[in-house]
Amino acid sequence: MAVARNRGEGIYQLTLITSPPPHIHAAISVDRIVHLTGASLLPGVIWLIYLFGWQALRVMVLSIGGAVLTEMAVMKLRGKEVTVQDGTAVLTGLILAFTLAPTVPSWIVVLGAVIAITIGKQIFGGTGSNPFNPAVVGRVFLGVAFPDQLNNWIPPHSVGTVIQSPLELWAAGEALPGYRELLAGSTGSFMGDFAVVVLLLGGLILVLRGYVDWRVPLGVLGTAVLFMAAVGQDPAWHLLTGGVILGAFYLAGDPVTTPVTPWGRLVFGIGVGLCLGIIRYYGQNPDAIFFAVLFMNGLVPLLNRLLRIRRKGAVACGKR
Amino acid sequence: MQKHLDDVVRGLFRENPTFRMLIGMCPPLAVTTSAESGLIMGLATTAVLICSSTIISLFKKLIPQQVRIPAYIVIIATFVTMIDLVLAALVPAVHKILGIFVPLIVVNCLILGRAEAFASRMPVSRAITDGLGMGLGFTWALTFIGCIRELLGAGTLFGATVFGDGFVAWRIMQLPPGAFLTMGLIVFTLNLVGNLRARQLQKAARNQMKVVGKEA
Repeated sequence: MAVARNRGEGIYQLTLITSPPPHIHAAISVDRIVHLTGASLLPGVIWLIYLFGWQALRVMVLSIGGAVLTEMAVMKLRGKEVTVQDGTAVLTGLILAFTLAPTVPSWIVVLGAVIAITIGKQIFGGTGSNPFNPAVVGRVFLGVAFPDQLNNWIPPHSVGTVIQSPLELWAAGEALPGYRELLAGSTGSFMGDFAVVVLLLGGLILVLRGYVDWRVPLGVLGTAVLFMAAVGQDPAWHLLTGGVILGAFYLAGDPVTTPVTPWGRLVFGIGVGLCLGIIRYYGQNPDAIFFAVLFMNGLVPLLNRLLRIRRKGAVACGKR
Repeated sequence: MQKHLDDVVRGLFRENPTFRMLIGMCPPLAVTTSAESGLIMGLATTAVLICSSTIISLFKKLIPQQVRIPAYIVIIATFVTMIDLVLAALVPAVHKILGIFVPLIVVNCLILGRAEAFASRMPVSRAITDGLGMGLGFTWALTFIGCIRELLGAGTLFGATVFGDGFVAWRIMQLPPGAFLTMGLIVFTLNLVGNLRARQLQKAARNQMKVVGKEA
């Protein structure tokens, strides 16, 4: 990786040169990635509004609105050009909404979006500079700060009867909902869990378009399956609930917070899967996927350093 | 006398150990779950700091250079033991909450740092005022962090309810991440204010230059 001085500002900026030349130029831009990612979530949005009505809409609107307004305010305060039209704040807000239950009080949703954008993103320099996935930062903050308000799960089309989520039932050792209940969304969980199929399809599209490196979701899902099988759990059941699909493609797959080298990404994915398994199985924590992604995000600089691509024929000069 | 006053004020703000120098970071993060425990921890540290600084300053000529750190540690540990017993006798409830962190004042690098950098080179009177300033700076910092964490984390201040029944406690503020978040945001705010003020001063200086240039 080369370090170049950003002219005029006196700030060091990383120019990511991950492989030796020649380089192929592709017409990918931040806008494009964000727009397609957002578009891949749209069917899920419609499905969730159908399932939960205005409650789902309320969470999404507040989350997106909070994220966008915070981004605008903070960029203005920082004296930067406001680049909210690139859609990254909208996406952060939307993904945050997907990790929340439709019952979460409005002010908590907004607070989560504010935390996600300020502490998760802008404090590190804004779009593309954040070491941690902003939506995950917001979600983990809310999860640790307000467990009582966050964990009120309701099944779709209900009038507010709070039930236990599949992972809570599993942790308590009670009878578990089957695959069909999980897929048809007749359990209680956060919103992303009701759109597993849509998220899986959307994630595959992102992988095929090359916006999400296949190594990350493969690492996450593969390791999670192997781990759960190794400890005698049903791997497929564990993939369908607790946001694993959402986490593998949309949270861990975020290109900003993944390592820049192919091996780094594979190891990163495996790490997320392993942390997920450990935190979920031994810690009995239903929010395992968020902690796993956050933890591995923290290791990204290390992975970038350890798993650099060496130029062919390059001679090491001295010991590192 | 002016110097002595400077010593005290410097420790309070410009060289505040917690917010400006970022030394002795363990207590500000570990024992500030409530304003009360922050305050008592700060006062305990202040007492140890003043006493040890005095003794070290008194004996600075007698302590051989080669063994000065062990000597400082022994002096500090003596006072920490005394403070530990005093707290256990006077405020047993808080002493229980502070727990291991009272004996750990021995290794608070603020105290050793002031001994090494200040008390061992200065007359006794200035060692005392420096200890007082640094200690009070540390105390208000701890109390301030404690206030914010207690207010948001429990809705109380020094144990008295501030927010009504409708208040939802931000549980994270009472947990370790809350300490880091609070600490980080306070340092951020102080640096922001400091930078703005520096920029204003720069601007004023530049204008002054212009005026002077025109007159010449």
